[in-house]
Formats: sequence, C-alpha cells, structure tokens
Amino acid sequence: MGVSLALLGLLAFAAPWLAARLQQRFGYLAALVSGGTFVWFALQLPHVVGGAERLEELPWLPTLGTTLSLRLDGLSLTFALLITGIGALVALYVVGYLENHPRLPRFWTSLLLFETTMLGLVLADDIVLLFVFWELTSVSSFFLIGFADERPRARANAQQALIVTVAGGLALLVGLLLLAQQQGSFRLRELVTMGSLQPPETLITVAFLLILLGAATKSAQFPFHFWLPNAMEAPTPVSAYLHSATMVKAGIYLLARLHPVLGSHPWWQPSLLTLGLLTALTGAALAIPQRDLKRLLAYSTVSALGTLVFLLGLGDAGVKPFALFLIAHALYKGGAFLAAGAIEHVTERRTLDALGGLWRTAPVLAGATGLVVLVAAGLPPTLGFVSKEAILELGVETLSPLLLLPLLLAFVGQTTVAWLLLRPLLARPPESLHLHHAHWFSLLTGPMLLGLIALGGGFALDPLRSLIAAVIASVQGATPPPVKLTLWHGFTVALGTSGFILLSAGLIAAVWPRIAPVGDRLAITEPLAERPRGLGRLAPERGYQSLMSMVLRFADVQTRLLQNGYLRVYVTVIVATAILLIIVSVLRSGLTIPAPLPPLTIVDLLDAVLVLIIIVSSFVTVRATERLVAVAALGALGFSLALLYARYGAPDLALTQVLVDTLTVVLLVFAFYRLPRYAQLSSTPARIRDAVLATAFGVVMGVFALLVHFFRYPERISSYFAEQVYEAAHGRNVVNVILVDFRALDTLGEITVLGLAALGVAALLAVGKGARD
Amino acid sequence: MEFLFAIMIGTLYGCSLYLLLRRSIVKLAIGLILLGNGANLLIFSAGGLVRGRPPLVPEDATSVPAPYADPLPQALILTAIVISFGVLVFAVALIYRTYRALATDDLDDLTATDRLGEVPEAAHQPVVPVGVSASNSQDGR
Repeated sequence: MGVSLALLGLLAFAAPWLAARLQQRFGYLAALVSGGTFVWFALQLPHVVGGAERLEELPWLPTLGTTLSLRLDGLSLTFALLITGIGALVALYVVGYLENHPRLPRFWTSLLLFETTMLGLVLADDIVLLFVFWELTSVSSFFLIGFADERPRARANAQQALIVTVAGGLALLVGLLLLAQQQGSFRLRELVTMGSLQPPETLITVAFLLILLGAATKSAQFPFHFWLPNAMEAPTPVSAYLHSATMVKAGIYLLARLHPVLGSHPWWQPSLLTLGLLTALTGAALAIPQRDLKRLLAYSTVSALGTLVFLLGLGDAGVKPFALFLIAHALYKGGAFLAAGAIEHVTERRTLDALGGLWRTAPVLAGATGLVVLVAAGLPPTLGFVSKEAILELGVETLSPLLLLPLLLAFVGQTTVAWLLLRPLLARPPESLHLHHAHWFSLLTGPMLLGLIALGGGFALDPLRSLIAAVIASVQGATPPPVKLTLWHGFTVALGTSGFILLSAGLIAAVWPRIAPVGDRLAITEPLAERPRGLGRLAPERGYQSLMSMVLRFADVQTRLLQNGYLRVYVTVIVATAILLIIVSVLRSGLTIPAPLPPLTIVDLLDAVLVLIIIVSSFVTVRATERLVAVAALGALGFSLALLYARYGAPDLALTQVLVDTLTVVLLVFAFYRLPRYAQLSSTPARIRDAVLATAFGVVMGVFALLVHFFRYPERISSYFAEQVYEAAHGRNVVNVILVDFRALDTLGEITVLGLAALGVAALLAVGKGARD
Repeated sequence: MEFLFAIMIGTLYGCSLYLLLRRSIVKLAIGLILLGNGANLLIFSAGGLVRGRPPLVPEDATSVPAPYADPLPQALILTAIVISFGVLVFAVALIYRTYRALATDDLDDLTATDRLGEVPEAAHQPVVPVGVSASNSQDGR
C-alpha cells in the first residue's frame, strides 16, 4: 500500500520533467502505473474478503501519538479499486482529450497528486493522516478546476470549491480531534471496534455535527451543493474523475467509515436521512432543465450523492444497497462524463439542443455512450439494474411513504438525465454539426470499458458479492450474514416500481424541449449571475456570494483603518499595545512588592549629575529648533551615558558607547548638511496630544524600570557565566567571553545584520550615482 | 539611585516617542537614537546596579569575586548598541534618498504607497526635488 502511494506520488512529482520529455506518451505511463496499482489492489481481494486486514505503519509524530498508518479493509479496498481503476482510464483519456496542450506537465502533476492523496485518504488509519490527505485532495481539486486559469470563471469557481471544502475540512478536523479525544484513540480501527458511548456525551454530538459538516461540504450536500456544478469549469477528465467518481465521495467514505462509531448516535439517522433526501431531490430537480451536458451530469451527481447519504442514514439495512450503488454510480457516472467529454471534443459543442444524429455520424462514440446510458438508467442486466433493484426492494419493503416518495422522485430525475444522454445520439442532427478529428482509442476506451464492466458486473456477481460483503463488514463493524445478490428477482413490486421510474423518466426526457425554457426563465440553467433573477435569488450560493463580499468589505475597512499610511498612527498603535501589555502582565503576574524594599544603591553626586545631564539633553533634542543643537545634545547624552556605564561596572559598554556616539555625531553632522531642515510641522493640538501620549509612555516605562528592581528573579544565568568564564573559556572578561564564546552565534548574527545594513546603505547611495552619470 | 535611573529611563522613552510621532522625518531619526539608549538603560538597570565592580576575573583568581555587575545585560546591550547604530545609519541613508527623490520631509506626505486602490504617484512621475536638477529626478526608482 505504502509502495503504491509512494509510486504514484513520485510520478506526480516527476511529471513536470517526464511529461515535458515524453509528451503524449506520459499518459500511457501514468495509466500503466495506475493500472498496475489497480491490479495489486484487485489481488488483495481474497485476503480482505477472508477477513484479513492489511496494516502498514511508520512512526511519524510519536510524541503526538500520530503515525503514518495505512489499513486496507473492504471499504477502503472498494474505494482504492475505483480510484486506481478509473484513474488509469482517465489517464488514458487525457492523452486524447488534452492532445498537445501546452501546460500538460502541470496538469499531470495536479492529477497524479490528486490520485495519490485520494488513495491515501481512503487507506489512512490515523485520523490526522486522513485529514492531511483530505485537505490535499481539496488543494489538488483547486488546481484542476482552475486549470484554464485564463478564464476568470475558472479561477472564481476553483476558489469557491476550495473555500467551501476547506472550510468544511476545518470543521472536520475539530470534529475528528474531539472524537479522538473522547474515545481516546487516533486510530480508526480502534475507534471502530470501541463502538459508541451510550448515551453519547455532548462533545460526541458536537463532534458528529462537525464531521457531518465536513462530509457535507466535500460531498456537495445541500446547501453546499452549488460548488459541484461550478466545478465543471475543470477539463472533462477531471470532472469525470474528481467530481463524480472519486473525490466527492470522500465525505461519503468518511460517513461510512465512522458508521460503527457514530451510527448509533440518536441524531445520525434523522440528520442523514433529511440531508440525503434534500440533496437527492434538489439535484434531481435542478438537473432536468439543464442544457449544458456537464452541468446536467453534475446535478445528477449531486442527486446520487444525496442518495448515498440517505442510504447510510438507513443504518445496517442500507449498507448493501449503499455499496452497490456506490460502485455502480462511479462506473456509469465516470463513463457518462468521459462520453460527454468525447462528444464535446469531436463536435466542440456541449449543449443538448445543439447536438444530434451521432448515432449515424459517429457510431462507435454513440455505442459507448449508449452502453453507459443502459447502466445509468438501470436497465437489466447491468450493475445499474442490480443496485437500483436493491435500493427499491429495501425502499418498498421497509420505508414509510414519506421517505419512499422523495427517493423515487430523485430516481426519476437521475433516470431522466440518463435518457437525456440519448438526445445527442438520436435527436435530429442540427445543421452545421461537423465532427473533428479525435484520438478515438484514448477517448473511447474509458467509457467503453466502464460501461462493459458495469454490464458484465450484472453477470459476474460472485466477486462482487464478496466485495460487498467486505464493505458491509467494515461499515457495520461486524461480520455480516451472507449477502444475497441476484440479477433476477422475478416479478416483484420493486421491479414494477423500476419500470414505472423508467417510463416516467422517459416521458420527461421526451418533453425536455419544453422543460428547458422553464429552467431558463427560472434562471437555474446558467451559472449564478452577479445579480441573480428568478429562482437564483433563493440559491444557497447567494450565501456564499454575500459572505465573500462581506469578507472583502471587512478587509477593505480594516486595512483603511490600520494601514492608513500615517507612520505616527502605526507608532501610536504599537506603543499603546505595548503599554497595555506591560500593565496587564504586571497586574496578572501576581507579584507583590516585598514589604521591606530591597536595599537600594545610595545616590552618588557625580552619578546624579550625569543622570541630570541625560535628562536635560533629552529635552533639548525635543525642544531644539536647530539640527546642530539637537546633535550636540545627543552627543552630550551619549557621553554621559558612557560615563554612567563605566561607573556601574561596564567598561566594555562605556568604550562601545563612546565609539558609537562619536561616529553617530560625526555621521549626523555630515549627513544633516544634506538632510532637510529640523522643521516644526505639526499643529499645536497635535503636539499636545503627542506630548500627553509620550508622557504616559514615559511614566509607564519609568515605573516598569523601578518595578524590575523589586521583582528581580533570584536565580540568574549570569552566575554560571561568571563561574565558568575562566575554567571553561579561559577568559577573564565575562562580557567579552559571552559575546565571542558562550553566545558566539548571536554575535555572528549581529555582524550579519551590520553587513546587511551596510549593503543597504551602499545600495541606497548608489541609486543616485547611476542616474547622475 | 534606582529612582533616578527610573526617571531617566522614563524621560528617554517619553522623549523618543514624542520625536517618533513628529511629522518631520529627521526628528524620527533622532527619536530612534533616544529609543535605543532608553532600551539599553532599561536592560542595564534590570540587571541591577552595582557600582564599580566590573565582571572581570582578577589575575590571582579563577572566578569573579562577588558582588559584581551582571555581565549578561551588558553583553546584550553591547550587541544592541552596535545594531542600533547600524539601524541609524540605514535610516539616515533612507531619509536622504527619500528626501532627494520626493522632495519632502513631511511624513504625512509619504502615505501614498499604503493607500488602497491607488497607485502611488511617485511610481508614475518622480517629483523633481527642490534644488536638484532634472537629471537626478529618476533617483526615486
């Protein structure tokens, strides 16, 4: 497992070089690697079905209890097979679809990175690892949706998908950590075997809601479904792979994975059933009037995702149809997208009304599309039929009409979409429909193979049965009874319902030319406009729009407020914050002034005179009207300071201060000759205001300096230096030894800073020179 | 003495802040120097005031006889003095260039680059400084 991940990841990072070198042939390589991984996973099937899980573990952050641990059980195997299998077909498809695209290497990197992280996501056993992969799939999805970055809409929609899914990802992280903390383990397999607490703690409920939020955003559940149709800005292979077959199922994977832990939570069933049905209905209703092939399929994907969540909400009974529908949907929706992309590629059209007659003009393409339609519509003997029968059987037998009716309506919508895919094949060909040259092998292998697998799946029920059993084992957290799976049930109520769905969907598809204009009038067939009309005004996407514009407005206001260009405002904010922090930390430190004050140093007359000179010179620099007066006062201040240092046991400081002060005075005298006058620019009120602030700052710092004396911390590092200076460093001057020995690296940093300052000065002065020549 | 030091430190901090808040760009530089001195003195006095006992190991001993002035703040200040000198030199050079390029020493005139949605005027057409020939006016780039 780890090897397959590493192999795919390596290929992703090698793509920029390899793809530039191999050009189109890189696609075959990617398909080969992906296909090889698929075969490896397929070979694991007997082990996993036999109940033997594969575990791989590498320590990662042992102190935090997280490990790079991977686990292969029925659920992750199913997903891994879909990811690598469809990944291989999509890689093959890209060869023809993005033929001679100039930015192909970049595309391959993102796509393979996605495949790696998605595979990691379903294999991860550590929840931190799972989260990391989860976010990485969002990031690679961002790059893929925004691949045509010259289009503003592609950029905006990529951003939308990223923000929605990552925001949900943050909720998920908190939820997962809460869950792990409550249950005391970061390992999914341990969490699962633990089962759930009865009755659940409040924190578990919070964790469940957060995890549900994360899953709902990722899997495009209502009201977050809007990002998925918008994600159709991505190249079609991406839509087929990420936005129908794999990534959008990550949320559903997570819910299925956590079913043993959270499934018995009293909120699980009502929330998942409601969420699933709402999504299934919204998707189905919005799908039917769409004119754009990809938006049509995207909304039907939303509907299917809702159905999957609904099935999970049904509890143990829903797991078998869930697993069947998961596989069937990935096969036919991936195939449908690939077929739609092929149609678009050869006709350069994507709207339903502008297509027709492909049955005659492109029979192979039409055959592949038709095959996919058979599965999508759920006609016997395909896997689509098996999965739909399983769902309907469960629905007719156990569900109340309140739940059954919306489910049936959603199915009618999804089946209508399947029938609508026949329009490009059978409708009267519009004039001027030309077919362009295409790389048929690459474009049609994918949909053909996916269709054939789904067709053959109806007959080869034995391997499927064991896979489903393995999925049920992982989702229910217990070994299930043998799975009943037959192609033909005889004439049952479910079969009748199925026929009714097919018929009514067919009718709707037949009158579609009358439905689509209604969709136009309601403004649901186009991407949401800046100023929405019709039903668009009620779209949940409006919430996203207004949230984003609020963020921008807030950023604008606070930038104007804080970053207004006036240096004194910045200084004021910084100083005010510093004053506040000092006051708060002194008050909160809980230190009290010792009752007899510690002994103070006796006032010495000479020292007092020096202090007085410093104080007076400070005021002189402030009050001076001439530059030279200010510089002279600075000089007096600096030399008095040096003397003070010398008297209080710091000869080195005194020397340095004298040197630096001399240099400063010399520099200022020379420089000021070229600098502006010592002007008084502020108004009197401004000066008074600043004086008040400055006095406050001075008082606070003075009091702080005094307090430091009283609160001095007894244990000092200095005594170590003073003891070791001769023994360890063979020096007699402690300050010098600290600088060049104990803390030599700091001094190196200091020298670097000085060097950089010198470079900066040289550069600043050199700028003028060049212009003058 | 500690009280005198505290007053001195407060004065240095207060005066430096007052100068930093001025619109004149030269006063900003002076304010920086005062601020550096004030901070150094604060660190120095935080280590405790010990008069006339530098942290030196005498010829006939292997460690510093107590009491002695705290060497650690001294090492810190030594670094700080040098760094603040570097900062000062850089600031003076920057002020010089700014003045040459934009012909103003009023910080309130130097707000253009921080404004939202406005391209700084200087980026388009450098203002010809007073008393500087036109050939110098590209300095600001």
